[in-house]
Amino acid sequence: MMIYNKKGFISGIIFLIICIIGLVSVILKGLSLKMGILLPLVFLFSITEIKRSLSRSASKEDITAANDERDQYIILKTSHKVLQIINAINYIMVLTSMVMYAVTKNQLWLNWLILSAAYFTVLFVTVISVNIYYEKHE
Amino acid sequence: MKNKLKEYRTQAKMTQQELADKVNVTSRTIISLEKGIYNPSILLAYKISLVFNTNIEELFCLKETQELEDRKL
Repeated sequence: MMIYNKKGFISGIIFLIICIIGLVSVILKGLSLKMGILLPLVFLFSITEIKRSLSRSASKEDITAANDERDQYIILKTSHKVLQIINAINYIMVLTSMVMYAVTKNQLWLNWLILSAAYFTVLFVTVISVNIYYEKHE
Repeated sequence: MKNKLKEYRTQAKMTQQELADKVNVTSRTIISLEKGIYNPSILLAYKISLVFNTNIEELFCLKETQELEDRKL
């Protein structure tokens, strides 16, 4: 028996372990509706993943789909757009909370301002760090 | 980017899935390429041109694309 897609096999095994843990919990605590729906789905997913990782043709399909350059490009563009939207929302939040705090002197707006400013700081440091990394390695 | 991918593929009597399998991408990528929506990486363009035994310039109409861009400028 040969494993053609290691990632798929490992994820299948992890989901199988989760399924076994869930099964043990069902035995100990009794069956609930949530577990009754979730466990068969997790079990099916794990078996499918393991089965596909052991099949050469299915693994080739999975690896091709995972490495497809257009899909990766779309993921990259999506991430970029999401970051831009979140930044815009955060920017609006900073301005709004500043104005609202100045007008109302309500502590809640100050909390929002601190939170948004902290997000900007973390983002700024992360962007610089990642940029330095890629400047050196690309 | 304008290209002759569909023309070459139909001439070779190949389906989109068959071409996708040969160059290790999904059929969605081939569809996007044929529609001219997606511009391929140089490696993918090279792989596809090898499948049809031609060159990248011919397959992806680089001369025409360049002329179009020049006219826009």
